[in-house]
Amino acid sequence: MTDFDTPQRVEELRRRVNEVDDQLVRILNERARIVQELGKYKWESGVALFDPRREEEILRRVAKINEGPIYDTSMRDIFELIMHRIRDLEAERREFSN
Amino acid sequence: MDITQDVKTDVKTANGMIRPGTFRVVAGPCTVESYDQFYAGAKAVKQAGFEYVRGGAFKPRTSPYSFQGLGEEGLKIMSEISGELGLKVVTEVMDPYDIELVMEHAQIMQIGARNMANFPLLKRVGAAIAGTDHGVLLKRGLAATVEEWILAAEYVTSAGGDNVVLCERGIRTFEPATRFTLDLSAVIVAKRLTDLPVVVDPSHAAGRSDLVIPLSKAAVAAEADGLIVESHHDPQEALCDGEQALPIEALMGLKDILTPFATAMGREVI
Repeated sequence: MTDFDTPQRVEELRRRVNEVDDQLVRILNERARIVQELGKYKWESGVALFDPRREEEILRRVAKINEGPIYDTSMRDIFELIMHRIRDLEAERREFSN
Repeated sequence: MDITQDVKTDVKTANGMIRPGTFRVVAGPCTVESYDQFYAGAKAVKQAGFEYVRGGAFKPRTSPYSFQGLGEEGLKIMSEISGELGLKVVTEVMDPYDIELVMEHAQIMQIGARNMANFPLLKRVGAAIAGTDHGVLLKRGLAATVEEWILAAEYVTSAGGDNVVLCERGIRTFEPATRFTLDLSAVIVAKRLTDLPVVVDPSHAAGRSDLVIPLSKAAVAAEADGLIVESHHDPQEALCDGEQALPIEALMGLKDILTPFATAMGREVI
């Protein structure tokens, strides 16, 4: 790599990171909407929103399908945060509707 | 003034885990996942030149649905493999009902940070190891003062237990860059207040493997008597704490990296 093409290469890689981030944001919101729909059913049938058994099932599945380079345990952490923030969103929505 | 005058390189445990003029390294995976995984991990510890292997059979996890360890099967795997390789086992005991079982398979019982103030457990472990070569590795609670930590050790010794080793593993602070904050000053303070050996766990303190070697060097300089580090043959796929496990290649170089520091402190890395 020469000094001349380094900035171009960095710019190209940053552009690709942005593209992936765009997809991540869109997909995370899609996940949130599905969970909201699920939350609606749970609410109507009087089932608790927080289901740690199901969350563990999701975390195990995520670690299982993970092929790296992200560590399995890091992937679990990332998904734990995603699930918690989406769950918070759902809990907030119920709070306001009351 | 001789600035090394307070360095105690002569503390020891009767069972030989901690010996004068040495720096003891314990390494191994966070948890026993399978026979093959633990074999790979233990063999690496042996090849790296160390005599003590760590591994968890009972894991204190935040969620009851998370992997809880292999339990008795994990203990059997550890004792079988360590027997074959000539290693000694350090493993956590959480439940007083498991003490006898754990003692059958491991030489050193670890009391985890979350159980440091579980006084009935400390007393039972102390009474169980009285008059034996078994030892206790007592981790500092994540919000415990040095005095509370030393008093917890007294619960073990006053119940008849010998061979107690203190372990600094980081405390909770406001700093999020590391999982906990390694309190090296506590190592020095504890060693000046007691004759108990003190070892350091840089893996849990940092929560990230890139800090483990620098913190290990610092532990040697801070008068520690040894280290307990996590290592894994495949951190990317580890079931527990992959981020903080030293890969095998790093473990292989650990003895050579620490030796100059240990020599300066009048110790030999074992």
